[in-house]
Amino acid sequence: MPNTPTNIKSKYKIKGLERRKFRFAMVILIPTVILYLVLRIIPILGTFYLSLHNWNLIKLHRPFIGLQNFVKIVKDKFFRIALVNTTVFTVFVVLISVTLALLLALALKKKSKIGSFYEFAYFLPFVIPMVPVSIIWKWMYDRTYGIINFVLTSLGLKAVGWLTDPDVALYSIIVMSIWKVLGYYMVLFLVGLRNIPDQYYEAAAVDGAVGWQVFKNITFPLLKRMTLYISVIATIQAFNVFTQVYVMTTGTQGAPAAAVRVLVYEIYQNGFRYFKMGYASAQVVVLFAIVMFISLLQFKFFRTEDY
Amino acid sequence: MRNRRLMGLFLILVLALSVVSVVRARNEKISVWIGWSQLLPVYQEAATDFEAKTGKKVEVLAFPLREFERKLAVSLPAGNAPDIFVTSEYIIPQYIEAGYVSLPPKDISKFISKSFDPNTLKINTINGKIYGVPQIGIARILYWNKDLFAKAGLNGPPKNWDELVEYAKKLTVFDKNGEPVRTGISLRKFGGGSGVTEKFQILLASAGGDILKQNSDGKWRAAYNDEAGRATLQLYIDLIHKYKADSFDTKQDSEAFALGHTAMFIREFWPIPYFKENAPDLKYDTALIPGKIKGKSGTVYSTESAFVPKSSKNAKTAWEFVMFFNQDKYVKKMFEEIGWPAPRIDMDFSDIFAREPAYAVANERPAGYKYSTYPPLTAADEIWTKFGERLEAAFRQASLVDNPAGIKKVLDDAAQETNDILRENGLY
Repeated sequence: MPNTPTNIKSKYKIKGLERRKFRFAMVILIPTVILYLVLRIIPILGTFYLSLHNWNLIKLHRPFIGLQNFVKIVKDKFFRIALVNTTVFTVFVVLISVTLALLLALALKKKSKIGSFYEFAYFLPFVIPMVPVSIIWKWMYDRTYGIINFVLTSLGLKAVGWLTDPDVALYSIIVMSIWKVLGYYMVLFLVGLRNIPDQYYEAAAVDGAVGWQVFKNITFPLLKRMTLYISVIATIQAFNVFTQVYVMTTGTQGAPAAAVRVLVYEIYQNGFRYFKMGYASAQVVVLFAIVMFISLLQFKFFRTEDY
Repeated sequence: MRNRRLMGLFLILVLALSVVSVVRARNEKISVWIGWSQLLPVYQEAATDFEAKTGKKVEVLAFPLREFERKLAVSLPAGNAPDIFVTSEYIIPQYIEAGYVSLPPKDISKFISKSFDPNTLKINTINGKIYGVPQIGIARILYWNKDLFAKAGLNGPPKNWDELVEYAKKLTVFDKNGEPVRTGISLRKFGGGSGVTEKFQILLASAGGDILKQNSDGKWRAAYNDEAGRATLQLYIDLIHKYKADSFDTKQDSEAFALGHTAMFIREFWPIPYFKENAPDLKYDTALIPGKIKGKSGTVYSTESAFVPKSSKNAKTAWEFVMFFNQDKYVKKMFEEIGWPAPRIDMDFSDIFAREPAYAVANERPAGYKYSTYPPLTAADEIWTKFGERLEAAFRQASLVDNPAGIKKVLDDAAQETNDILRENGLY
């Protein structure tokens, strides 16, 4: 189209309209951006800042100490125990819960009345807050009065100190945590599965593909985005485990807290018990780096062509 | 005429200001924070009575202890603290050092110095001054089940460690697999670090030891890696692993005692009203902690005091309420109904002892009975918590039976960590 004066005018008119739209969008976004900055970005930057200081919550003198907090973390035995425990917790919870959730979603993919009941039943634990759930499981795990040991002893087996035996306690919490999140991941997988167009399966059927071949070549590749999302949130949630450990392992009837020490518990202890905010912030930075690194690995592993 | 008008206006102004100040005084509201929900009913009753008497409102808030400590740590530096808060002698020094806590008025200081026992005054003195009004002073005591003792042919509580071990062995009942189903004693073995150390400290005190000691230069160091400390850890290991008179797998502490699942345990006074409510048929009594050697023993003693922060805008009313709460009515109620005795030497508690003889041990302090206290150090909680975590791990080690070198190593390693924390805080 030649650049006649009329065309140029209309072109600028459109641009002007776009500019106004752009300005409008910016104005609408400003409150959200400000909130995001205040609630997310500034606290994260603040944490980095605190991690470089000997910042005691109560003391007025809070000197800059460079990387000393990070050097201390390397030598900190409790941090190492917490890191190992949290890693074990994350590996088990993420691998088992994501795999089981996928299997359940595959089983419940076709809509039916009984299927809806199972979906509801599996999803229910997710909507119950963590504190009451932890208390219920603490009772179920009770060595003397717990229902699990009641069943075991009724079958002539030996009672187990589910929360009192340091070799077992972490795994008891892992089982409870898998039970808690399983339904949520299953529902997410179901959404992903139901969004895969039927024509892919029909084409596969025409080509003679069945069972594992269909899963390997159609279902799994088309679920990669959802699997990535679930894996990332599962990893982040697992690395941030705290409530169930705190509720189930403290108190005179509980397990030794040190045996199931996890990173966020360790950070909580340093920050809010000993008021060493600088050191706790350095631990947060390390946790942030670990989770970020694992998330990037997951992105790499589950990358699809459209990313 | 003009002067009269001016005089009239002046009088009206004075009257109006007086009315405003009276109304303001009557609308005044103070806040109280406590870290023990058990105390809430008594504080609320006092608050209601105080309002009825003065017209000034008192809002009392109770939080779980750790949440309370966290709130205090955030609110005091920010100047948003309540008008009154009740906390321990080992929590307050850091706030006093930072300049957040006000001194009581002179008349209240006089009341403190003449009304409380010298031990309470001593552990609450920081830099030569007492900042809070002590509310509670608790010594830890031994609980023993009369029925179970009688069945085992025992007439009274153990008087020394040898008897403690002997009685605990006799009182333990095993199942067919040789596992204890009823323990002779329930020692604190896990569940929250500082509490584990505190209970260890009780038996340590009864052996003449302590967690920390102060040098002549005012600096501190770990003291538990001495003979008394090694003997105390040995006692735990023997009772748990050698004689199986205590177990990780049975019910623990007051709950076990109320259910008859253990014959002895060590605690504060609060289990007395707890048993009254939850196990009214339980036949038990209390005793002083048996010493390692007969006639020489000790226990842990700690206090809680009411403090007014410098940030309080109603400090006068706050101190007024603190004194109001120190009336016999509330102090006795707190003792009898909640099991939190006040360390008052100017009050007669004999009526309470007559109604509930298990409390009478609060009045006993024979010669040679030592009170071990929390030192007024900012790092105390971290030291107690981290040592407690090491103890939790050590209590699990059956390999420490008849292994003095192993026990020494556990305590020496822990002492090194304690000294490092002291060093980090400029206290070593």
